[in-house]
Amino acid sequence: MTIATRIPRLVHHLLARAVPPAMRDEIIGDLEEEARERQERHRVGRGRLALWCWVQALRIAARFAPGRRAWRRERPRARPAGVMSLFLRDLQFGARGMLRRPGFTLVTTLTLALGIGVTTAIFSVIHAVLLNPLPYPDADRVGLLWQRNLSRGAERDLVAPGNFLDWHREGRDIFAHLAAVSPWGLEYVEEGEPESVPSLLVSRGFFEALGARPHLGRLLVADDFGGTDENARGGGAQVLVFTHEYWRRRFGGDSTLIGRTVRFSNTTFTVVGVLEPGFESPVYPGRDIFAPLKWWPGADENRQSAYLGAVARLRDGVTLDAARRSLDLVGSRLAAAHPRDNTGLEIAWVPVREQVVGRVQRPLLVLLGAVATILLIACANIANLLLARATERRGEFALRVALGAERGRLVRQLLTESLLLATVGSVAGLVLAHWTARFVLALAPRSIPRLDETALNLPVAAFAFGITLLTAVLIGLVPAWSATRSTVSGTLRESAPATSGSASQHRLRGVFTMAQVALAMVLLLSAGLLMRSFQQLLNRELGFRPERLLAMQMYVWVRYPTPEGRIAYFEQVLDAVRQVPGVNAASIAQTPPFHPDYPPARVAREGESMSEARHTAWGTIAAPGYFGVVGIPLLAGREFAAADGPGATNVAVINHAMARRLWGEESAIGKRFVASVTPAPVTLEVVGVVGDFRQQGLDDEPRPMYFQPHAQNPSGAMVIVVRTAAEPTSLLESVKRAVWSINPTQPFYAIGTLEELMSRSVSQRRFAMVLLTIFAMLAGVLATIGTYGVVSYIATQRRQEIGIRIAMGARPGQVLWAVSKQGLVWIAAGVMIGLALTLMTSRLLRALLYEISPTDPLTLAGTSLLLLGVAAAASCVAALRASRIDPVTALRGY
Amino acid sequence: MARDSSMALGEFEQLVLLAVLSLGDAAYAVPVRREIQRVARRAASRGAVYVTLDRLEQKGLLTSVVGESSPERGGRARRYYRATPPALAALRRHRVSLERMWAAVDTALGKA
Repeated sequence: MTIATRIPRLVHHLLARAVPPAMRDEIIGDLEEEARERQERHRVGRGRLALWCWVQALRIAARFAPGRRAWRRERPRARPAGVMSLFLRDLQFGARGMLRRPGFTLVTTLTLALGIGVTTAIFSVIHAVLLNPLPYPDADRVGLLWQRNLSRGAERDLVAPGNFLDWHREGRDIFAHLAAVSPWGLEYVEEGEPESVPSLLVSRGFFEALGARPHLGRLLVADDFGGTDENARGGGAQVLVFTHEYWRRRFGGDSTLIGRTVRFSNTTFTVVGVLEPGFESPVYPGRDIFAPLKWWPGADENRQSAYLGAVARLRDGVTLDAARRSLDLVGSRLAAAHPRDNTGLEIAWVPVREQVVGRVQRPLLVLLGAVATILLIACANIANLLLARATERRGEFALRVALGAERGRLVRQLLTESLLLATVGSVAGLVLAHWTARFVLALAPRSIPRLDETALNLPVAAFAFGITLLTAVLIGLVPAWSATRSTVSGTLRESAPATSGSASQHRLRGVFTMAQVALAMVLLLSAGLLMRSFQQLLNRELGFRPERLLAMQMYVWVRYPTPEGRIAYFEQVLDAVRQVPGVNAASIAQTPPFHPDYPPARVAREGESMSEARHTAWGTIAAPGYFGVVGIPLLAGREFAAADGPGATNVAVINHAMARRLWGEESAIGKRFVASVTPAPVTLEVVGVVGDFRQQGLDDEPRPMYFQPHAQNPSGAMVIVVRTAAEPTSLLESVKRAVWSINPTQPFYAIGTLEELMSRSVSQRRFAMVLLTIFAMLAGVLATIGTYGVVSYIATQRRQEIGIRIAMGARPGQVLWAVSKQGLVWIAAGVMIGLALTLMTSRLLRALLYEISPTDPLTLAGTSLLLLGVAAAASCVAALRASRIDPVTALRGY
Repeated sequence: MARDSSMALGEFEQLVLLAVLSLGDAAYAVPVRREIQRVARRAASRGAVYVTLDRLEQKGLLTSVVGESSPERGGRARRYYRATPPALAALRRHRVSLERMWAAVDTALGKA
């Protein structure tokens, strides 16, 4: 026969063990009897009754505790346990508790795994990209020098040879090494398809400045540069240094290559060394071959064509501040000495770390902030769960206090339990981190440097361990403190059984809920702003049509040294390409969209003196048909024609921006302007005006540009642009073959579709936006789950009241409101706090935003309403479930 | 186990014994405690009552019988207590000595 009992089973067990066996039945029976009486006569709810039973049982048990039965001889006290064994016992106890409640354990562990996992994953990326030391010894003494011209808004401009040589002379006391670099291309046509190898010309001291070492052979020495110091002009040797990777890829790691000669670009070079694996130049990364940059007579006077990068290592004992001061002095001296070229020019020192990772630092830190926020939300979530659990376990704590446990001891046990939870969570989190990191890497643009070094290594594991400890304290401390406090003050006072803690616990629950909603709000808002700004970006007019456009970059200087040869070659190539089935149109240009610009030139209307010229414009070269192929509309006048040849008038097509600058509203057609270019200024007659376009992509502003016909400025560095009928990559091979049909040894430097290049130009923004959106949604889901949990917990606590309200005739809507009101207030407060926080931190985000203010009202309102709606819905569902109870059941307390 | 019928009784022990005596056949722990609360107007915790009942029985001042079990007690039986003659003797002795002491006090205070 099973008989209904009112006292909890655990109380039975407790009493059965604590009192003498002879009195067991009597005492339990008495308690049962009194409990029934309390319930029937005083209408005490089930929860309070259970609590009452606990308190009574504990007090009885305490009386029979060993050593308290005064008429017996005291037993010897147990020796106090050591810290370690206490910890192990707590651990065992906690583990048993976790196993007893698999649902609770699963939810908390998964939540923690999520928080710790994404945080660790993003940290592993940040560790690889930002924190790993750069591969240059003493990297904080290495930097790059740029020309800064603030009046033109140029932060980091390349430097002209004359200026570089001045810096070198004047900077002897500052720099241990200062070297110039210039991008270069070498062609390898000895075997297989003709290949162009990205290379770098480097002046003396380049490898020393970066602390590079040879893997085989040697690096460059004085003789290679033609003399023992920077004053040597002319001479030098035709030698090359390979990167380890190129040497392996192209020559199979053949060590007998050192000292042998190889033909590149119709010239014989001696390979003198191979660099250590992984070496990369901080300017112009991704170069395979290094060769000596030799100064020529007249280099000192060239201050116009700025095309050199500069790498330097500070002399020992020179501080960065001192170096910057000296550079300012040198800059102003040079500006005074060469006012025509150097007015307004300063010298900027950029630490190598900033050069390499400066651009990606902010987005990555924003992402770290986002995942840390997710972890915080997860913590608040679990702290709330533990708080509720601690309330349920008050009886247990009271027992332990009654048996003589100190409060510190209880807090320690609870912290041990949360540490256990956090540890299990972080183990699962590390697995998750591995997958998250792979996902992030797959999504990340290739323009983020050093991504491939991402790994779950020791520092990352240490980080994960650190945040696990932090998490344990975050989730455990407040509930532990709160639960044990209420135990001591309330539970044992006979007349007022254990309600005194609940007011403050209620407040705590509110704080946790508000914090969750506020944090989720910050993330959702940030993601919303990024999404909106990305959308703005995609909605902009490019000014040309990038779809189905193929761009193939070629350098033909070596094969076609004469202007006539180049003109003829490109005409033949274009004829051949146009014959390829599927090709709609083809032309050539020097810098099609998304290709690097050449530095701008000063321009002036004809008749104005050049020294008064206030305008600059970017000059470039195109062939007839180019504007039609790329889809840049002709606004006035005409395109280039075959007649615009060598002997004819020098003509130009300019874009609308340039026409406006030079002639305002007047028609530009037929006007002439002078462009100050090397070697001598040219005068050009405007024959056409085309629409503005964004040369470097969607986030670029249209800039003033002028085009010269290729026949009048026959450059050897041109890009073939091909408009195709179908998917452009499908025609790639046949177009290549058409080009090789004219000259089979002509390599391509870069091949790509304009759509690809465009997508790459926004890839970093897209990366930050997609990740932040995913993280924000995770945060929103976590906060919603947390709100749901809290409201349903409160609703359960208030079952009796709900029952009474329903029994008294309250309508469902009223009950719903009564129960969900509290949650809604918390959510609304959380949303407000989140808004305020976002406004406070919006400065961080501003740099990532585009044409949208961090206080964009549409985003603010939309996101607030979204989160408010979802969280409110969650709390209403929780309240609804609680209010759908049978009043009789609720009143009886089941 | 009563070694000495002149053993001293603690104050709470006397209250418990008196309650058992006054309750007669209905003396089990719950009413004993209530009786002490109602008549003596002082707090008595359940634990204290049980421990004292146990102790008094071991001293031989109480005997107990297990009564009927009932569903409202979760199927557990009551234990009814009855005071033994030595308990009565001891209580009387305490009462007499207390009364004598009070008489002396009253005399000393000039109230007689």
